Amino acid sequence: MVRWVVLCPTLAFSFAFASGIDPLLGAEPPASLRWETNPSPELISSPKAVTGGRIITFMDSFPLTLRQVGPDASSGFRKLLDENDMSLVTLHPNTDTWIPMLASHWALDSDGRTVYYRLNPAARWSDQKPVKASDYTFTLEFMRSPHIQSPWSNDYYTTTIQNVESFQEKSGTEVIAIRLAQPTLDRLLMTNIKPMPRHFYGELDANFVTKFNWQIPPNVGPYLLATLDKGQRVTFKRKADWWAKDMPYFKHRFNVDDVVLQVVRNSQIAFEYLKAGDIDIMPLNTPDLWKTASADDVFGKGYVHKLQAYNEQPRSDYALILNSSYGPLQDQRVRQALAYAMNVDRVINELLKDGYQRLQGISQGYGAFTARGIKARPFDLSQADELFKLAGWGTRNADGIRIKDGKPLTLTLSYAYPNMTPRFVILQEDARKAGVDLKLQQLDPAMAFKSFRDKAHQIAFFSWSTSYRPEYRSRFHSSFANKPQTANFSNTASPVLDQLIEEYEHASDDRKRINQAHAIQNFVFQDSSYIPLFEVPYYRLAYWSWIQFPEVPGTKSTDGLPLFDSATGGLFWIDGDRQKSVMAARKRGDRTPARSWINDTFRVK
Amino acid sequence: MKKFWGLTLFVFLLISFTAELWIGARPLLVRYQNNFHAPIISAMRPGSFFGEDYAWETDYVNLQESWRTSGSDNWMVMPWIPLGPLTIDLKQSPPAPPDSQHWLGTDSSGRDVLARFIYGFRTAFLMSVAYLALTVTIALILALISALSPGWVDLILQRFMEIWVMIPFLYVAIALVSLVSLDKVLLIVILSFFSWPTLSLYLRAQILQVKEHDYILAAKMLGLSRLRIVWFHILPQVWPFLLSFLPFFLAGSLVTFTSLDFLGFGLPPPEPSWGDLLQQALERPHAYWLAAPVLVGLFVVLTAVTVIGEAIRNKQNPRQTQNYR
Repeated sequence: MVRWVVLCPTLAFSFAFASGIDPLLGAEPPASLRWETNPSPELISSPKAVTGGRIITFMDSFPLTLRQVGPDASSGFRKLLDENDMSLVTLHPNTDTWIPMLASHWALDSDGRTVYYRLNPAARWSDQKPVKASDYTFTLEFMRSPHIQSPWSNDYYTTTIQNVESFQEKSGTEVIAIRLAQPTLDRLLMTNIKPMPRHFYGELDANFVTKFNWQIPPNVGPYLLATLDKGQRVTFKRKADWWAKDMPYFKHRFNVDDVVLQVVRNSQIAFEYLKAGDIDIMPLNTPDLWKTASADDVFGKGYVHKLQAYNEQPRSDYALILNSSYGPLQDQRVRQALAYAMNVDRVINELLKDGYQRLQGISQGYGAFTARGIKARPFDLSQADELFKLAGWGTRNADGIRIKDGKPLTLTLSYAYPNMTPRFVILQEDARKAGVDLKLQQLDPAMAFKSFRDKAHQIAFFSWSTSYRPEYRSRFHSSFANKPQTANFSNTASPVLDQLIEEYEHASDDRKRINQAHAIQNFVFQDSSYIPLFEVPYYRLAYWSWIQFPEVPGTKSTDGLPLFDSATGGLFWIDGDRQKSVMAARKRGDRTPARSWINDTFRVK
Repeated sequence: MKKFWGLTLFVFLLISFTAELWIGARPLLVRYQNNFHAPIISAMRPGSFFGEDYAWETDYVNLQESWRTSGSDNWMVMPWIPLGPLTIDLKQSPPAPPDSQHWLGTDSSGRDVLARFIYGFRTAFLMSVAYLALTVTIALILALISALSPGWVDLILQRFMEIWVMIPFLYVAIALVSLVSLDKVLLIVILSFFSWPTLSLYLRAQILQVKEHDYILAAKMLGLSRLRIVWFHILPQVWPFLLSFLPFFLAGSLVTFTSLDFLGFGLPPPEPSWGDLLQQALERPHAYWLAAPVLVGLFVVLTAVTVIGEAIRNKQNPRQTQNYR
């Protein structure tokens, strides 16, 4: 290959130019760079931690694919794979400072859009091959390929990330420079890509999607997917000789040898598994489970402990997403009226009663980026009535449902989790008062996700995962509206919003950027394609008491049980002696100290 | 035994088909401004109809209370238990155990379990009967066409049925119902569409047997029309066979509807159904009052239907009633 490049320099250059890859490996990085690093980040782990053991937890459906891009790839399971793909640097969850990961140092270029990363020469793929600069240039090639069938990745790695160049220092250490198309304030965040194993994927072709459905790619993180029992469970094994195990931030972390994820269709059943000792740890996401747990023997006798820990982190946009391309929902006034017709407060105050709060809008919990002036529309029948009338839905039929041109105002709310049914039944009853016939449709989780991505829904219940800064493009930009397999579930398409998103992403200082974020949130509030529902300021776990946590069990941004995440994951360990004594006590029916642990270190006061 | 179960089923049906009279959210009779109204049979009456300031269904319990306290001339007769299957009561944290107000407790949305049990049974029973009628009609028509047509029609139809009968109908039904939003009629049509062939194959065999009898030949020779032969000479010989089939089919379809609701692919919420109660019970194993009524109900209804079915079958048994000398 090298010879070929030398023999055909022009061709090689033009190929490289077209794919955005600079072939000049060997050139030295600019001498003017000011390298930064963070040799001693504040530790989040406990020195008491010991390695070994196994934990079993659960996932609600088996993944449709192991690919991390392309059709059906955006499932909950993919997050576990992503967590095991480390990136160049990571943000400390408590101090908000950058920590070296695959890059030992980083340097910001004066052009405002390029970041240089000095690669850690120790980094190894799970097949022991070194992580090379070429793996990062391959990331770009991979993510731009039409064969991966991921419009979002294609777009991001073309319009946001412009180029990846590689260099070599005199010492032989590789350096990469990642250049963004536009200057941005979150340069590190946006250039913080992960390497892709070039030696594993090779040349991509049209068979990519099917070929890599069930292949386990090499990774660089602490665990590797080891066994795959289709439809049943997956096992991640700790890498005993993980290249990063002695890095300061990873001390006393990722302690458990095997992490097993068993498929259990819903958390109520999983809870029974937990009580029976068939799974060891699980999040208690519903107030119902927390309440039931207090009454149960395994908790009373102290075999299983409960933890409620507050966090301070961006909140999921836990919302009803209205498909603004669907019939009556095309009218903004109908969408606003619908928001007034949802009695979310009644669900919170009368059904849930457990520290749940009304989510006021999208992008909550992002500090200054959250527009605090926006308040969710309350249940207000007269406002709803007024807006419905303006939109031509003034008359009601014999059943009290609004009609227009002879058609009743019937809307279907699709969702994946049966535990939402009691909440939605209350919304349904009170929507009827506003003259809206809200139908409920429960779908299988994988089916629901597919249907939402294909925009086959009218109203979708969904909660988005969060990021460090609010992200709007994939969900609100018109280029993803009315296209299958994209995340713009609301089919929002507005040139005004597109403009705001552009300005938000390319603002020159934080003040402007915050202003644009507020403008976007205001737009979405006015547009009313999102009806925000609830937020929970804490997370809850139930675990067999031999699972141990540091004194502060999580971080500011921990939510649930992060297993492998570089920034927050793998803080727990297993106390083998305690495991034996608890098992013995359980056999005899003895009591051990019960614990319902409430940790409010990160409670927002 | 037969009488006992027959009576039990009858009582069950009687209770559920007159449910509105003694458990429901609409009054039997209202006297308002010297006029009498019967919301139990009339269309939905919005609050404005009775002088309230809202356009949705009247909250009769509150209205009754306010008429009573204000000493007004208006009055109403509510059912014995003034709770409908959709009435949400969140005074106690749901699901609440049985008490004096909710005899069988409330479900996970605070609705009365007894009301949902009774109304759910009625819905399932009516749907089963409709499903039965539709399936039998389709099966019978196709069996007649198949048995009485020239050989090639029979051949094609038979091959088609053989393929159709191999489709695992519950799974297909689940796949289909997640594509469309359901109502009762559509659910019945989908289920019938996939369940007629088994019955049709039996019926065809029966018709083939009957049509070879001498009296049919005689009828043909007398020049009777085809329709007349089918109606007066063939079908009467098929009814007994069909009749002995029906109770078991009915029991089967009750279970099918309950299963579909249980799996979340049946009637959409908030329709009351036994399957929905079972589903809730599965999620909340400590709430015994959710599962217990349904399990008892299923036991009683299925036993009763089976015992009655046995009785009919025995009555129709050719070995006991026909005499070949």
